[in-house]
Amino acid sequence: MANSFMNKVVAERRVLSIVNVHFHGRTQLSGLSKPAIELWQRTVGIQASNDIVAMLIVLAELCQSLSDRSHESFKPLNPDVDRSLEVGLVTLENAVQQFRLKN
Amino acid sequence: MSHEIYIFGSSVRGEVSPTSDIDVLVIPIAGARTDYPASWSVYSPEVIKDYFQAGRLFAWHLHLEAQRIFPLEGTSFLTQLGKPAPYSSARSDIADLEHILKDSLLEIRAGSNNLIYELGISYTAIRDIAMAASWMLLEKPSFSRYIPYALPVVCPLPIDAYCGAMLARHQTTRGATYPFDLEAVTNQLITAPILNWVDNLKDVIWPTHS
Repeated sequence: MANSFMNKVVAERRVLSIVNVHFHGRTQLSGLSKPAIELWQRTVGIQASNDIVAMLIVLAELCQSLSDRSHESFKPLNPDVDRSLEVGLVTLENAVQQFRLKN
Repeated sequence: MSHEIYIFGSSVRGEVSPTSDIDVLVIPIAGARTDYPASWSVYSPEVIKDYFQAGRLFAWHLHLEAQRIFPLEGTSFLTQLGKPAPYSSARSDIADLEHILKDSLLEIRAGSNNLIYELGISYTAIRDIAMAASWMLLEKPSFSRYIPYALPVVCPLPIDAYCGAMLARHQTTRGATYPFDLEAVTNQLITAPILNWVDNLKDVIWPTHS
């Protein structure tokens, strides 16, 4: 039962670690749910249109697809989840570093 | 639109607090394609049937708690399924959850930057271990968030710290920011003999576990 949840946790941890190396304490990103991302956006002053936010949403969906089967009725299963995740993580890291350099 | 909508979880149990939300389950009956809120649990009838046949704990959760709110007439899909098969995967489920809990505690002890996330994961693992254990240890399984404190082997984490970790989980999943003492919760979580508690639970459930 928990194996798929474990996969999701491992993946989410990787995503959060990329962001939270730059954002600590009160400004840490606490999760990849839409409300958690929106809370973080407001806290750190990132616009919803920022590439980082778009990437977080994509990565959140990839992580969710590793977990339970809720909603899967209507979404095509992504056979390349692992590869998409790796690519997404690299892209996110670059975007976060760029953001920190400019802000 | 042809679907059944149920509520389950803490609202059905009457466990209401300022941080409560409503757990909603949707079963689209005729394969209708509709966009549902992301927070709703949407499962096809086939997946629900699989879960009932496999005796998954989630199936028991629905069987014992879910209340249909739409439509109001007729026999519900879940009622037609009857009782799920007996829950038989507790040992492996608890092992997996223990693994998740150990990893999370290690991350916290190592000074993780994802502290709120890890506190919430620890809470989830403790709660779900207790739910799985309740199948064997109580007259009927309990899905209460406070079940770690209602088992014959009581969780050693002070309940205030458990509730703080629960609020961390709510921030992760709902973006809700109810205040709690992050430092105190963290310290209590890493000092309480929680992994010993898991071992004690296993000893009671399976006296010769290895």
